[in-house]
Amino acid sequence: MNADPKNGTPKTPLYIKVGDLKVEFHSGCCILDIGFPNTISVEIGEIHFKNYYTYALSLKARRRGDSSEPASEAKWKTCLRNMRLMPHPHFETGSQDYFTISRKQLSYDLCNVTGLRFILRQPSPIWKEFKIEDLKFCKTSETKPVSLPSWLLKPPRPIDEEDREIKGAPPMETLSNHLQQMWGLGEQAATNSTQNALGRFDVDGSYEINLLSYT
Amino acid sequence: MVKAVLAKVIENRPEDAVAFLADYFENFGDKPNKISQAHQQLVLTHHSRPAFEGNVRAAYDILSQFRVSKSLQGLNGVAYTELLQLICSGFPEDVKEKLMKKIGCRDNEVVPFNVFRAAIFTCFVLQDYIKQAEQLFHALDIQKTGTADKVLCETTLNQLFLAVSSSEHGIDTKTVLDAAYSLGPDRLYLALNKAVVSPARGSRGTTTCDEFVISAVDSFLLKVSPLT
Repeated sequence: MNADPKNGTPKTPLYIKVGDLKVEFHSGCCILDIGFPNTISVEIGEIHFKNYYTYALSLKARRRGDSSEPASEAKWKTCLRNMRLMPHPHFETGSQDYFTISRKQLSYDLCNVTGLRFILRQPSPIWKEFKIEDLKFCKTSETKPVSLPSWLLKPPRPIDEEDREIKGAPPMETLSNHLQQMWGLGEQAATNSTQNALGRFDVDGSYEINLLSYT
Repeated sequence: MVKAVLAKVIENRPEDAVAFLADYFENFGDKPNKISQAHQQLVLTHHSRPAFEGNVRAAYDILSQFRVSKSLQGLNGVAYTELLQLICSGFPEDVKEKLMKKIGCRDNEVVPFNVFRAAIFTCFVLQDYIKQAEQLFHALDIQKTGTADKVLCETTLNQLFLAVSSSEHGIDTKTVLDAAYSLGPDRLYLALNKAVVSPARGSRGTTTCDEFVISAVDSFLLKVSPLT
């Protein structure tokens, strides 16, 4: 997975709190706008962030070339609808957890993004301050699916236990047992080997001319 | 002194504590030669136990006081080789030779701890491996004559060699599965059947235990990386 974290720069740290705080009305809703002014073509595979007492999150994105009008105001399309981060808004669970939004959870591909809008909601009056922190965007490439070996996909006809005897040879199970243990011991030797070099100069038993020095 | 030996018993947890204590006190009185002291540390417990790591460290510390010359002190190739020879004293000569080619150190080289540790582990794992190979040989030697059919031996070892060489470039789930499958009873039967029905030329005859073990060790040594 080529995760290339690039930090989308917020246009301004825009935590728009809807509603007038002076009147003691906490709307419980907060908008976080992310802009990508420096990069031209933005493709987002994954979004990582740390929650801070946000109950639910919706994500809208604005893509270039989405709307037919050439005007600069492209439409915001919801790509993640109401993802719940905390199971109970009044309680602490999930309030400071790390989350990852992967491609599978989004409604459409995030390519050519010009702007992202996180809509955070926290209806509980207990948590007056809420936000998401440590936003990171990653571009992931497809991992090559490892193919199963052919003998698993199309198992050959199993040989009956009675037929598996060879004249003059011990039962296959015993042999197999011993061989597998020996193989295991060999692997143990491999894991115990060290990369530490002794600092030898010779290559295959003889010295390399260039490494010998005149003193 | 009793405190020390009890601490050792708790750390190493031998199966037969009385025999362990008897051995310990017997060797305690011997002339303190650094090499035999280090060797004694290493045989206190089996290499798969976690206490073995501590014992390797203790052995290295003992050997670090080895006097090379009047002013020089430390673990050099001479002591290292002597210790390895002591550990491998039960092995067949050919095996010892092949092993030293891979992990031997020259007399004047300094042996750092990582190299020492890797070599000690290799020797002890090889000891277990040789025991396994001998048991395998006795399994193949059905009539208990001391020799086994060459075709069977060669084919069996060949299967092992194939399994070992396929996982040479690092281990992951797929290689483990492949190796386990190729060493399973079904595949073994197919390979042995094929070999018995149409043996390769020059494969008739019998093999002795030593020859068998020596060929088996080749597969093992594939996994041991040589020192640079």
